[in-house]
Amino acid sequence: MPETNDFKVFVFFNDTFSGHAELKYAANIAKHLNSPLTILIPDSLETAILFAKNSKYCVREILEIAQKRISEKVSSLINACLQISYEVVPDDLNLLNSDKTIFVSNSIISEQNNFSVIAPFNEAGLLERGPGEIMIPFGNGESGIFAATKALPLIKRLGLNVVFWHTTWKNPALIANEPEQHMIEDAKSVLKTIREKADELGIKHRSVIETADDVVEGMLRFALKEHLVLIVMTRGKKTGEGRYGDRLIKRSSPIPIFMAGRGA
Amino acid sequence: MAILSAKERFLPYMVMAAVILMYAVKVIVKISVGNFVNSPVITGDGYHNASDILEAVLVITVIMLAQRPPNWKYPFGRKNVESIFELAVGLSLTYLAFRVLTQSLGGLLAYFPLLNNEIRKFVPLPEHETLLMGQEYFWWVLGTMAGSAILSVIASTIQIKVGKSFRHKSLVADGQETRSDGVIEFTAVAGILGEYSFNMPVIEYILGLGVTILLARTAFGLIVRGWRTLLQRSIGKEHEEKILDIVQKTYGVVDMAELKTFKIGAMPVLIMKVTTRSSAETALDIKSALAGRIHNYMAANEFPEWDYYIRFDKPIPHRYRISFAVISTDAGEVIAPSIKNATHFRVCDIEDEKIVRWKDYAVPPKLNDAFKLLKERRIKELRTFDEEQVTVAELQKNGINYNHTPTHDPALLGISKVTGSS
Repeated sequence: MPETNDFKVFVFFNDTFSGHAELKYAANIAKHLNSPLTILIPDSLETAILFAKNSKYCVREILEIAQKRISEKVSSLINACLQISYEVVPDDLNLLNSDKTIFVSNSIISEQNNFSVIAPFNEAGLLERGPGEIMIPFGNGESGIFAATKALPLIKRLGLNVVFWHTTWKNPALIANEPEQHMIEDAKSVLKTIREKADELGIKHRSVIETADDVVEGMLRFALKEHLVLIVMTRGKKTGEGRYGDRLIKRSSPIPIFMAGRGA
Repeated sequence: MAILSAKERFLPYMVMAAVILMYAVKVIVKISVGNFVNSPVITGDGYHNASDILEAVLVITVIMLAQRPPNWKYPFGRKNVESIFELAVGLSLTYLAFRVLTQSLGGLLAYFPLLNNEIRKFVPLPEHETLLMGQEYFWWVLGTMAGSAILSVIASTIQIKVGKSFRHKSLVADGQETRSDGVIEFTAVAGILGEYSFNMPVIEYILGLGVTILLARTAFGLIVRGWRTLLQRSIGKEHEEKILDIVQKTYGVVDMAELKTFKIGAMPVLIMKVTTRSSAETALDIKSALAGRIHNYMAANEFPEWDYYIRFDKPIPHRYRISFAVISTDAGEVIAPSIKNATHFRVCDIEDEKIVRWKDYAVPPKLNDAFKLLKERRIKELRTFDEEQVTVAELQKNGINYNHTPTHDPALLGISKVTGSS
């Protein structure tokens, strides 16, 4: 029997193209994590009452039929061979108040900061385009450490390797060409910390330091070139405007993004 | 187009200068020794080497032309001039192979006079001439030919190595011709040794047949390579499949609609049409990634220098219309159980399975008028929560498919007035 764990994957049910894509990606992640998949359905009691007034069914029957049909639809979409469990429950985001909660959604990643969200964009699964590493960009602040702390247990469970990526401004006082030479001490300290965290968990990792002209462009181009399968981000506590994670989403990253939530 | 380093720019010329010097030494020595021993063969070979000097000058000219950067007249540069030279060398080696073959066959047939006479009636083989030099000139002749052969092999090895390193096909082709000269010279040395040491000149003719095969193989390779480049043959199915795989696995790429490959000189050129749904800004990121990923593959497959042209296109959208039957009241809206209960048809334009636009039409009181409206709006499929079987059959008679919705809530179907389209 495969080992189970306490990661929980959540996704909204939407009978739309993007909703189906999110559901498939969520099922794929749940399969990789060997975790249960929970499908959330918004509370539709009001619409059920309105519907009942115009049909032969009572409200309870309508809700039961809808739940049954949604279950059938989900089964057909995520394919029975995935062997994952799912349940249809009312929409309640309080369920997500856990460190090991992963919500799969393209829309709420832009607005939600309490729990961790993966935006799959147009991808059908984590390794659908072939194997690859997971990218954790870091700077000189606490964001990189926070993102690594949140994501590394997940990465360990997925059995993938990590690339710690950093870009730095060139120090005009230095003539050295190697980007590592231009890193400031704070960034070096962050790198040391996150490397140690990866080592503690036994995750294979490598570090890449660049001097990209633009952080978001450099990050995305590196990830695309190296065929990285997921980019781990978090929203910096001190940054007011132009958080890299948000800019990456705005730039329509084709690579799925994991936005580490900071808790309620 | 890559910027050439000073080494890349000048080393091929230095090699060719050394080759010209070698031929100059050969010309002087062969003509002098040939006259000294009264050997028309050696003197003639000396004059042949004088023509090799002209060929070496031609190689230098070809390299100079090939190194000129692209411009509006020659957008891909002039590297193909090297393929023209390659083809020409291949043809000249074919002629040389033919000459060595006929001379060797002529020499061998001389040992079978009856057969020789019969064959010569039908095949115009050259007259066989036996070696006429005296024993006293043996070392002069042997030294000249052996020294020349060794020089040819050394020079050709350097030419081929530098030509391959700096991707000058003309230098490689000239090197292969020089090497062929060396092989012929070694064969002549073997013939001289056979004649004077073992009294077996037949060795030269047997080796001559082997040399013919070597020359023909080299000539064939040069002709094929030159021909393929000039006719812009693809770089090969295997490479193209690998490139296709790299492109399709790159994030953001929907598909590669077109891939054309060919070579300019030794440099592969890739022309790609990639489909993506990404924005123009992200397409630039994808382009940069593709260049890097394909370069890794090309560099690992002996193509360190290559050029590419990527055009991005959107996938051709699959467009059709569906309609939901809805009940829209002041209290809210809900998916209708059937057409009979519906107040509106919510007509949705679908593009690549996504609702890109929807518009409401009031449902006519009569069912037939409702069908007529759906047909006029070119509706492919109608969706309600629980349509009656009779109505489903009528819809199908009118060429409209039916599907029930999994839920009564428009929000979960991406058509609520609040959420808009999916």
